[in-house]
Amino acid sequence: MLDTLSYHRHKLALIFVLLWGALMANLWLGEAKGWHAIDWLDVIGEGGSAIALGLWMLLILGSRPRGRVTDWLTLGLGFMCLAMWQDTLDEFLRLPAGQWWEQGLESVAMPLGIALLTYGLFHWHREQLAINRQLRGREQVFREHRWLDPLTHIGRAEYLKQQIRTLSEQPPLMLLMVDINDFSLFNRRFGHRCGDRLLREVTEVLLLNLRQRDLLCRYAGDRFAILLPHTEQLEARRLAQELRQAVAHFAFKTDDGVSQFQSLRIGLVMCDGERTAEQLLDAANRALQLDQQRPKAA
Amino acid sequence: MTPLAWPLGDAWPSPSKALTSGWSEQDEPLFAAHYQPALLMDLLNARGLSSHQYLRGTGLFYDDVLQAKARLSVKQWLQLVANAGACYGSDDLSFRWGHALWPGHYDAFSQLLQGSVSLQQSLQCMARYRAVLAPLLTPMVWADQRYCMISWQDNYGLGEYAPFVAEAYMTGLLAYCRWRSGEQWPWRVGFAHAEPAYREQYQVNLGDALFFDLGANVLLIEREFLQRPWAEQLSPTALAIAERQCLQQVQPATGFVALVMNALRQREVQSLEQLACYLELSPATCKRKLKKHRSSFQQLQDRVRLEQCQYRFHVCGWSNERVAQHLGFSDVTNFRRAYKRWCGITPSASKRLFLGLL
Repeated sequence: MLDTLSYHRHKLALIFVLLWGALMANLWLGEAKGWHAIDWLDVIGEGGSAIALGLWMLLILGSRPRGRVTDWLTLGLGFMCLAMWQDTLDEFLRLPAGQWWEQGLESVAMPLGIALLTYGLFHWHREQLAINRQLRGREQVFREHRWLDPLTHIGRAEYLKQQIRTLSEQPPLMLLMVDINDFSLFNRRFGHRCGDRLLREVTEVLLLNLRQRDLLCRYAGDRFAILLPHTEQLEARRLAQELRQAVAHFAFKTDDGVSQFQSLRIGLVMCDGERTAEQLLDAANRALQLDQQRPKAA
Repeated sequence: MTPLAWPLGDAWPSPSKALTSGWSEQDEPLFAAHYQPALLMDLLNARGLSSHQYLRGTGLFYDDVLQAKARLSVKQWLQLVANAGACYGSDDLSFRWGHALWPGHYDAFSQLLQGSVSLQQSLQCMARYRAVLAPLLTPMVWADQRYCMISWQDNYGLGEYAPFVAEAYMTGLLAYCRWRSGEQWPWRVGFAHAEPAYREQYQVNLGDALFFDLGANVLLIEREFLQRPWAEQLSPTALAIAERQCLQQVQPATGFVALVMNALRQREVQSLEQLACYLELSPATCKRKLKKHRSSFQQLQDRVRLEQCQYRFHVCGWSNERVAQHLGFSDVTNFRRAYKRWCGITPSASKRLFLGLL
């Protein structure tokens, strides 16, 4: 938190100087009230509010990156804190009448602070919506960590089965099973670390060539499964062909910087309501075995 | 009945009473840590796990492994497997380890596997140099005119880790054949354990002809594949040199569980008392040793009988009556009941299950 606070030292310095300035001006110009004239209830109420506002400001600064929204939020809370601070000092010191700055601090700082805070909160809300959108694009909001494949950061078989069950209620739904040809030989030749990198990069290539509504999962090993909601057979074949071409033209660089091209085998089944998720996956795997169309790697 | 892949008295020595210390046990440090265990560690390192985490409780340090001098016992090895399973976090560790096992990086031994002429010769190498190439499970080949069945001999009693090791070794052999032959072979793959939740790993790594709950780990394929020459071969001179280098290295004695099962296979012993006498131990010590290897006499006897049944059913095609008679059962009903106790299903169900694809 301290690291993050150091990004905001200018704003903090400004608020601190204003608070300190108000205290000094009050001490300079005002005269102390007698003990009996102090309303302790007011002191606790107003002083406590000032401290709480200051604390909120620090918490927000400590948890946020630099930016416009952070500035609005800090300044809003800062001015509110300043107004409360002046109120608290009033309880101890009596100022002579006609001090323009005292009037300003008490009646302008508070509404100004509230306005800044409101504006900041509005933008913070829009920012959060944008972040949610960005997360949703990739992984359909994973509530359960065990559904996520640690290597490729896409869903794994368990999540896939669950999604088949959910999505097959709104046909037509197509299931593609995609397998990289001779991946075990690739692993043997270039090592499993390089093989892992290939899997990660092929995941990206596949994701880039899918539509917003499609779902890519890692089935096991080098086999991926893709769910295409609201898709007819013809459309699915076209998409499969596009994936084949995209991967065939993807020049993966091995650790020595040499290009290696891969080819895919793809099995395709239509998900009807009659078969269970497991039966559909078995059917897709069988279809995959039958796919003999193996374009020669360049 | 003896396995076909190697002649008796050569690589799988017939246990004789003269061998007083003729076996090795699961707490003897016999296996080079920088061979098969290190391949498992590589996968864990690549996942970013610290060696302190996965070597906890093994008494081993990664620096010792790098020195290429450390040896570990099966007990330590299984501790490593347990730690690895706990901290790796996905279902594919055993399968990935399997892919890396053969030919592996075991000096002259790996060269043998790179240069062998056929699957039969590769399996012979694995059995002969099992301390390096296949220490936990050793392949045994049974064959008749049509089919070849490879079953896996548990050498030291794997207990609850048997599924993990079976997954790895069977994936390893299939991946090795895929690599040497350059094509996909029609394997049927059967496991002793029940079907796990992660069936997809089996499908992708071992193919679609999968069977579970068989009571034994077996691979089945047409016999012709056994002698089919590999696509690429090493020069015969290089192979001979590698062979000589391997022969110079001292091999540890047969694992305790393997020794007992072999004695049962030879029908040298029929009861725990006979076994104790055969091993020149007191019955209590014998029992304790079996327990140390996560086994009991009954369990090993059942396993041997099941293996013999499966060979006769699935490879030779014998009828229930004939197998029952051969194994000395008074009638078929008794035999059927015993078979169900060994692997959970009746003999005919087993036949239907496994021969369905023959």
